[in-house]
Amino acid sequence: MLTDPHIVNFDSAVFSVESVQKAVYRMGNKIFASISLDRNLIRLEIEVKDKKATIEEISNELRQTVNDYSLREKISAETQEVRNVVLATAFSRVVSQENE
Amino acid sequence: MVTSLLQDNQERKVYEWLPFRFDRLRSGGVVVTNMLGEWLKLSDSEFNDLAGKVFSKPELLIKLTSKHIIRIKNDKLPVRLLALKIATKNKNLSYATGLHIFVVTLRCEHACEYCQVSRQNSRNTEFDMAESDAYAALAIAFMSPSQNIKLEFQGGESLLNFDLIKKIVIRAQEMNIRFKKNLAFVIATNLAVIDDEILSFAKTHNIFFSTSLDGPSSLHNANRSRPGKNSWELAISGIERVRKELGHDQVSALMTTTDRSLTMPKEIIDEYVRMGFQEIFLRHLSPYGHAVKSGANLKYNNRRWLNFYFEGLEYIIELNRNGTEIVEILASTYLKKMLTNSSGGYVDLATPTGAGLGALVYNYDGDIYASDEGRMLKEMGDETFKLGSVRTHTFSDVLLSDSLLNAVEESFAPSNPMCSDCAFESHCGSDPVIHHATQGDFVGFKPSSTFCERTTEIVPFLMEKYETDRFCRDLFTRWSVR
Repeated sequence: MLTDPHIVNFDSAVFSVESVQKAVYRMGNKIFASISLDRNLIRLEIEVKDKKATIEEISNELRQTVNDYSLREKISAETQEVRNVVLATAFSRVVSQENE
Repeated sequence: MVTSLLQDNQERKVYEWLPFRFDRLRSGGVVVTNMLGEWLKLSDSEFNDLAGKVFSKPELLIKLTSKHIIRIKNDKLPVRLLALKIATKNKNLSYATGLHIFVVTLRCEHACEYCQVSRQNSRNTEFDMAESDAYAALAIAFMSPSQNIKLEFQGGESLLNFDLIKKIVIRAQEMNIRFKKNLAFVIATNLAVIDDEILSFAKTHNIFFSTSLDGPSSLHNANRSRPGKNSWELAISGIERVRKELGHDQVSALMTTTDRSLTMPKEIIDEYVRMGFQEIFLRHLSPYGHAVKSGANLKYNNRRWLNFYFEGLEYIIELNRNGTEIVEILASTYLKKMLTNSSGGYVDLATPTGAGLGALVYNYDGDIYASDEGRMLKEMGDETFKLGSVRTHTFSDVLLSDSLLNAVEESFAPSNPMCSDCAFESHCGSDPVIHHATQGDFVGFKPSSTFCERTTEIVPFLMEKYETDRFCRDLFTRWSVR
């Protein structure tokens, strides 16, 4: 059973579309969602799949999940350089071990 | 030390994030993992400090630096340590393929209800592997870069084609004079037809037996029907004969979980303890053959299996606490990945996928499959994981086949949706076969993936036990290095 569509907005100056998309994917067993851009808003029209959950609970979980993906995006961007150094160093070791 | 770190932090404010992932736990708190999968469980307040880069609490600072979640800005040591550990964890990446499964016959004298391999009448020899195909498969197996080569004989009931097993073992040992691999043999069998000749040969050639034991007689015989309704009796007497002739540890047992099993975790575990086994693998329901009906059913069954698993695991922990040593294999595999630099050694939880890279299956008709499950899918009419034939393909052909490379590339967990951000990715694996079987593509839709649900339920459970129960911490540490 689906609920009536419900609108949740995110400020596009604060959140990326990618963070919102990832959150929607992660909650894909709980909601159907349409994403659109409306000037400075990322607009989500959601329908809840699970009739046991209230729209308020789902909206709160969605906001938390988008926040978390936004933080992950920030961590990834800030640590990309060191991640590449670690992986390059690690796999140069693997290659040198193979050649020993 | 604590005071000095605090002063250092306050005076210089030079700490920065290293790459890390996080996930919130339903029970409260947040799991944070570094690039390797080493983890910390933080309170919501501690996590907020990490997210906001508020490094003013010395205890938190020590936890985060020791797990390589943060570092003093530009400090090279954490980078070197992470690289060294990642290199160690991945050192076997290019040493495929260690396990080679020979389906020597499809014939079987059992008629198990969950069998997915289209067993054939025990006199129908057209479903036996040809000697020439077996030798061609051996040639492929010995081309594997892996120094450790395990040849496993499966069926049907493998011992119904014991003559071929003998020939393969002898030919492999002759070939190994040249190749000098660490060669091991396993016969997967229900033990119903074992006799003195087989035992004598197995003793001479150091062959290991792997048998089926689903639990107590009522459960085992209900699952595994055969003429005489005595599958359990034959398995038990077979186990005892192997132990007497070859040694106690030359036979292991594997259970298949059915609907009937789900209410009997303690009875199943008690049966393994009674038979003197020190390990048990509480396997999940197979998504092949009869088990595949609909996604909703799978999800429902997965929840019931998880309840079965947690009840069983709690019981196993209590048995150990009371002095009975028994290991649960799935937990042990996760713990290896959680607590050591080991990749776990279990094909189903490997990244990249263990299909093809960890194991190859040579079917009775000479066709090669990426995994045993890939062979089962073929019996359901799906040849997605067929990699070639021993008659026409080499080891390189098989490993470089589009069928395998597409599956490996597409299912690579670190770049899969949701997995790429998941705190438990390092503890999990890539399984294109199960996702293809249940969801129709190699990646799968993670929010409804039973594979994903298992890892994201079991790993936090193990973390919670490890953190809150001193006995479990010691027990799990032992399980992780076994």
